[in-house]
Amino acid sequence: MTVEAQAELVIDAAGETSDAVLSVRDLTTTFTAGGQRIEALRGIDLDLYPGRVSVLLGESGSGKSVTARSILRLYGASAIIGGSAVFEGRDLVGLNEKEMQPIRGSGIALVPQDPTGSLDPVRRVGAQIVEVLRLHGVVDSKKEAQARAEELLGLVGLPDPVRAARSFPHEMSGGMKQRVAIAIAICCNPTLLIADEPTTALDVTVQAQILDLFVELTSSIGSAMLMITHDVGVAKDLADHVSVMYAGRIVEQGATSTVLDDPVHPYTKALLAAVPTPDVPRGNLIPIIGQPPVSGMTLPGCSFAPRCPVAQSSCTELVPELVSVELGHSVACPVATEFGAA
Amino acid sequence: MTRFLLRRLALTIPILIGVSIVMFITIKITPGDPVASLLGPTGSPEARVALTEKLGLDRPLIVQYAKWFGNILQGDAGISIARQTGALGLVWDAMQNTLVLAGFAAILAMVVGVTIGLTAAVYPDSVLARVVSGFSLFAISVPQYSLALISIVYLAANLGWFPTGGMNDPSGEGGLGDLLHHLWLPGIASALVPLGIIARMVRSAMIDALNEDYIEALRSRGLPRSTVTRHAFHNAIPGILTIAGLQAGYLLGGVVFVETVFSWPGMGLLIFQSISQRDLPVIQAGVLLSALAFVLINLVVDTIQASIDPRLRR
Ligand SMILES: Nc1ncnc2c1ncn2[C@@H]1O[C@H](COP(=O)(O)OP(=O)(O)OP(=O)(O)O)[C@@H](O)[C@H]1O
Ligand SMILES: [Mg+2]
Repeated sequence: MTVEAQAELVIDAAGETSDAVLSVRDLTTTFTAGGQRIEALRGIDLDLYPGRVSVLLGESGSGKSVTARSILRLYGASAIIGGSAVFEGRDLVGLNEKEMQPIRGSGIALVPQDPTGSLDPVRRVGAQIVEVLRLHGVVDSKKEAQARAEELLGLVGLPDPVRAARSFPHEMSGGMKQRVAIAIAICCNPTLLIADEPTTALDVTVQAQILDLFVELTSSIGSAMLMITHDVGVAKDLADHVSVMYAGRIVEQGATSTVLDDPVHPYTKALLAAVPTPDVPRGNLIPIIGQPPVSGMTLPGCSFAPRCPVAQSSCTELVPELVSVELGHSVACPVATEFGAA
Repeated sequence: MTRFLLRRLALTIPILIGVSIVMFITIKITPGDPVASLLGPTGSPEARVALTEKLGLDRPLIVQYAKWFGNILQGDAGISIARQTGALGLVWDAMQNTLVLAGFAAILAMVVGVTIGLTAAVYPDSVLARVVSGFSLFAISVPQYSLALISIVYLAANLGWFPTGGMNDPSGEGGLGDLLHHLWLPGIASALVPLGIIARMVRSAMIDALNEDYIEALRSRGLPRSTVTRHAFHNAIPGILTIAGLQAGYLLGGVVFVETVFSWPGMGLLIFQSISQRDLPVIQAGVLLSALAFVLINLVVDTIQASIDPRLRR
């Protein structure tokens, strides 16, 4: 990380969020479909800065995708969204569908998890890019849009952009389709790019290429990037900043080096101990005991308490707040912070 | 695309041969005697034998079939037993009249059915959607004959808004207006069931399409609802066409009843009459021509589908 980025992080810790493109505060999402209440998000805080990669790290079911979709307001009436998500001075939580439409794709773009599911199967790839370019008025003519689409397909590393533009999605490999999805996401130079596990559907060799492409593009267009992943390795490689998520809450966040090298929250520690690294061989891994809470079940207090090795009786009474333990590093665990586990 | 078309065209030949064989056997095993119906109850045994020989009905089935098939290939479908004119000409005229009625009903069923189905899928909670699904259920479940008869009694006979039957006004000049006037009642009666089926099919195909992953991806790019719906519809069209094609084929055969009730001079009425008269050449030519029409409709549907969905172009 650059010295400037370090300096900015210091400012974050002081609560300064003026230069963040997106400031999420106490974001909650509750699903009410089927007569059952599912509290998928229970208070998310995030700040995303231009040119910087933030990783949202968490197990399956922790609410990572719900965070992305809630920010983009992709849920209908079945989801109740609370808190705030201020993007370029406007709180997205208060906007209606009509007001959200110009922001989606142009201000905030999303690269979904499954590249196959992100493209219309009966439209040519080029036409799908042209459609978005023209929608957001980035180009003046159809011809210009066509040329720009081909340029973008080259930019994301497709070998024959002209042919790619004329192809249908089913004529492409998964990796190629994900490159197309990325081309669509960056086509309007979004201020914020959200990538929801953009490589899980791809094989390992392609994964690395796609991730490199992301980092390259974020720095070249200077947008902020929220990379969602369950992969600690991806977080270590790409992130400037990491937010660790557990059962709909952020339990620890800060600069990648501090959070992943010096974790404070018992969950982050357990998560890192469960992942193989060059220094810790597979045989020495320690699995996290127990299961994350079932969706729809609301525990009083800390959601990790039932699985936590250092839990105390007070942990099941009060929901822990994120508390700053050092500059640019916050943790939601009174036990760990009070007893100086950092 | 050309290869696709050629292959599909080649496939129609064995299908037609198969249909003609099944038809031939079916006619032979059903009770009833063309000779008896031709000669009437007064026919002498000698006359019967002579006529049987003349019609070739004493030969083995396979020989009868081969002879008939050979003639068909030369455009000769035999002479109608009951009407003493060429069977092919009779069948051809009737087919044109049927196509008018079935085509009218098909357009009606498609336009109204698709509109209803789309509305119900896109606005699932609206009052309109509920009215509309109620109507499509009504369209499917109400018996065709009761509706046809009720409409004749009230709308045609009592109120005199429509003619009770026929295709053209015998006294008038005819023309398109007259034809339309005669078309409404039998057209609606024929269209109702396919309309209901198409509406329900469009609704479920659209709901499925709107639940696909790419729909959310499209929304995440900022596309307005109307554009997203258009994408979904584009994807649903091949599935809708499959059903619509089947319904169009069904209309061709299914107008038999409506044609009979409204005395519409079409294929249904002709085959219905020919069966009661045991008029074999007409039945055979009629069934074969209907099968050909059915196959061609399916070919057209498949071609449109392949031009819409690139994944079907194999
Ligand atoms: N539309 C919905 N209606 C009801 N519950 C939902 C809905 N979407 C998500 N959930 C619930 O919210 C929780 C979080 O889901 P989410 O998809 O965000 O997980 P995730 O962290 O993205 O996991 P993964 O890594 O498997 O993608 C899950 O328990 C899920 O059951
Ligand atoms: Mg997810």
